[in-house]
Amino acid sequence: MEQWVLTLMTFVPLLGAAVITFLPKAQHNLIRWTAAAFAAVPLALALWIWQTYNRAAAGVDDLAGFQYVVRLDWIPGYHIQYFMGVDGLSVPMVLLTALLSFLCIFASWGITKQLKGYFALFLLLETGMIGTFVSLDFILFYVFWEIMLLPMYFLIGIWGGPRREYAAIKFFLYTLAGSVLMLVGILALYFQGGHTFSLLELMAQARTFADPGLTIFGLNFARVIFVAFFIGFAIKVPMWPFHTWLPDAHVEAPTAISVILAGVLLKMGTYGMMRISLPIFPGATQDFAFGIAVFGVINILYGAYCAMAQSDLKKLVAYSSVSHMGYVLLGMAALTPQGMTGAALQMFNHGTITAMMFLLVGVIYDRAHHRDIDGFGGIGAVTPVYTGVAMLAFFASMGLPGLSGFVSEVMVFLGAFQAYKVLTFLAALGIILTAGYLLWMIKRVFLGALNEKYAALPEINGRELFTLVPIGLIVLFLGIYPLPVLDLMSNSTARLVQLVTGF
Amino acid sequence: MDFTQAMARAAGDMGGILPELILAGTMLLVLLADLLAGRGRALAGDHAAGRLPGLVAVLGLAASAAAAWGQLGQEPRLLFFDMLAADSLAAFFKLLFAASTALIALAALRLRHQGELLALLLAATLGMDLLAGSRNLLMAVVALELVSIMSYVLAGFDRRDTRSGEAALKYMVFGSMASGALLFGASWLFGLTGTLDLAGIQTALGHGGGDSLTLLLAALLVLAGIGYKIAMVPVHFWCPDVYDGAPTPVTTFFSVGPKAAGIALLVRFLFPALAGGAPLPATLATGDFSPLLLVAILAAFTMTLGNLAAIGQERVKRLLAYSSIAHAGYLMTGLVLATPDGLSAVLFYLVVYLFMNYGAFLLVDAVGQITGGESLAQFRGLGRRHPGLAFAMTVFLVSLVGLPPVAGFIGKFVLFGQVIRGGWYGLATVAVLNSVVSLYYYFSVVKAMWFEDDGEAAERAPLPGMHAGLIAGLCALTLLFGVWWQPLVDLAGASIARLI
Repeated sequence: MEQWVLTLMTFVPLLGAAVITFLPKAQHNLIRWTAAAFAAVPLALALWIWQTYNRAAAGVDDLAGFQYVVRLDWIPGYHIQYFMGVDGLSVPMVLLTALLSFLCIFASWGITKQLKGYFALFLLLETGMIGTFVSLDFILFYVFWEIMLLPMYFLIGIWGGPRREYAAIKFFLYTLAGSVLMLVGILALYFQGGHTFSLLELMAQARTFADPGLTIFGLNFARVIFVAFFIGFAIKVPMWPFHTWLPDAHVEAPTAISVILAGVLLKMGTYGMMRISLPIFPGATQDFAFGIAVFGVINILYGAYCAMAQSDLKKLVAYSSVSHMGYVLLGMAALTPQGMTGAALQMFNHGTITAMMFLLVGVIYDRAHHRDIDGFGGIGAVTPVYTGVAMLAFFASMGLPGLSGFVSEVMVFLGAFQAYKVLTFLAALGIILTAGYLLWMIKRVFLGALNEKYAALPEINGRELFTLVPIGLIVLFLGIYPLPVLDLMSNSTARLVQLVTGF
Repeated sequence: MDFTQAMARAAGDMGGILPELILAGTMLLVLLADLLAGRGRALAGDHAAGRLPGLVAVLGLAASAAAAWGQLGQEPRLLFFDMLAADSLAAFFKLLFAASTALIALAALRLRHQGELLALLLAATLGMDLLAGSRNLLMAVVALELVSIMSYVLAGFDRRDTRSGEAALKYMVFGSMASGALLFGASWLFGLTGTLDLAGIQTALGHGGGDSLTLLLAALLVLAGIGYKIAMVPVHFWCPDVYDGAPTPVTTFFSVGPKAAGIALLVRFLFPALAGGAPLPATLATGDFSPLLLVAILAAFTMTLGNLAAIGQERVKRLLAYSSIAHAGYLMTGLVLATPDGLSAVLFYLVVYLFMNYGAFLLVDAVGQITGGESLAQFRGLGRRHPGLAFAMTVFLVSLVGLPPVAGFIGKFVLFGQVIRGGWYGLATVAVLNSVVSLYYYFSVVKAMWFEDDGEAAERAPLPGMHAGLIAGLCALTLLFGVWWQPLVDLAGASIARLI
């Protein structure tokens, strides 16, 4: 069981997708419940891993520290292996993915167009996401990384908003441009690193890659390949100036897909940096750390300013993601244990908080059929329950103490201040901007005089609450007691920092 | 050596061209079978008899493929006074050609004048086989002409369609120019070295014959002659018009077989001494002139221009024609490395390309038969009308882009991997960025199939069973090799194991 748990998690959704394609088209509820059942399996397994995971182990570059490892030959001719395992960096991500995917099945209950296709693609997407987080072989990683693009393209392009086709191909082109650069990097590493795709074996050769004698275009090998990977990951984060696909994709995507995009897919960028770029290129990481931190601060401030200017509620949330992912970049670039743990925790927390926000936007859009911030007003009086849940999410996003966003942001600032004082000061201004755009939005949407058009706005229903409440509880709980997630990751992040700074 | 001795030696070499002999025999049998089938039809009104030539052709091609498979493991040798090489590389190409033509024979069963069509296809295949083994420029020119002349006739095979006639004429005018260039280039090389034997040319030039300008001109002329066959930029202009105008099964044939034959000839021309080990010595490489750099630049232009020109094409056949130009560019990148491994990657890519490109073209043919048209308009709403076909087309297009987990990805992975291994990072980056560009136009078809509605779809015929079977098979192979491709690694490895 130990050896196969990750395989099961990854491929049960794929099996589900296959099963769904054979279900009768008219049986809507059967299709929905089948999807839910197949998405429940990875969640149950993720919870089991969370329970049984040995928190003393660190992983990162140490095979013995990885758990639930499976390692088989796949394509011997190219030394490609079916190599999976999890450590403190991946377990929280796997947990987040399995949870959000399961809840998003319920958030998709309202979909009526080509139901079979929707849920089959959704489950295929889940296979890609989980596979990416558990792969330890570069080609396996890359295959899963790319498998996500196709279902995402179709999910946005068929079930999205008015400009869905444009948003879908834009998302696809941007991310593909990033990943092909990554492919060049992977192949260069393979041929320079003694013909292996194992991430751990490549990490062991960090010194070979950093050798000043090894050059591409007259530049240091490790630095050039680092940049190739970094662009690939930065597009996914998305880091300014590669962020322009995000507002389009998020706004046009159906609610559940926005949740997955913001909650899971953005994390792949920073996860990739932590899993691959930092440990394989510790020297180049040190060289470029300041630059990454600067980009992180630009993300925080630029994203927040853009969010402030939005009149579309969903676009505001989308830009808030740009801003909040900046904290992850900043914390990571600090190369301190607090900063790294803060970044990893911020990835998890942003995943939950932003998922709530997108779900909340979806709830109100389903009722009002628009998302214009100025088109509402005073709806707090009409829908108290909805407003209550919304306040929890927005305040968590603002970083209010007692909610999970606060913990990770404070850790990022603590860690970053040790390395970059001015940058951290600038980044802290982002908190004010965040409070600015969120409070201003709350004022216009929930408070003030009631817009008579929405005097009879229906309250949030039980199914929608079911998707929101579990995440809300996690946000609240981790705000008070973050240890259950922190102790998963802290050993691994500490080892990662040690690996980079000790190089 | 007197005449009898020479004849005896030539007779001894006959075993080395067994696949070619089988093809020649099959060609004659097909014509005979057509005659019998025609009589059968006239006598008993028996429609099954019309399939007889096709059956004979497929059986003959299978036998030729089996003979080529047998040659894969044989020791390499030179045949007919060094005119032809029988080595594992030639055997691989013969196998590929037999398989590709067999698929076309099956797909073309619906066309009229079966016997003539199949005989032409078999003759072209025979020419391609000879081209893959050519060790002498004269042999190469003769073989190339055999392929070309058959191709002109094939392009114009649909006499009732003026586009088909136009395609044939354009192909012939352009092809004649290209043949002329090749011959002219060959004459320069002959003037410089006094021989037409490729290995001899290399040896002579290795001893310092000719200055770089002369060599550049000779190389450009020869490359223009070979390049037109693989639709290399800047001698690609015929390609979109011919592909678009020719009957679709014939276009399908053009898109892989003759192109692969051109690649084979390019390999023979650039590296006559394949057994030399890495890096292979390249013909014409003297002093400051590197033919490999020339090939690299041409490859980069070919893929970029092909991909850019494909954007915005409304006719899917034309779009795929430009795509095949881009793929010629990808294939050429494997040659600049001058290593057997690079060569093996090209062969690997060719197999993958056969499956995915045939799949895409046959699907266009199928849609053409169902709806009577081959534009994006006919693909609109295909996802709703024929989800199976639309799924298969999506698989082929995703594969042509080169995304995992389908075969196109591993083709690019292996090919570009070698390019990177050779240190050509710039070329590799151009190549992968080209994949991103190609995504845009390939997915204009995907978009039409799944995102757009067709309004009222005029369907005039059901999906032919043969096409459904072929497409399903190719789709399955494209998916299978995407996740399990060790057999292809082994095949490509065996193909470069015993070289001349």
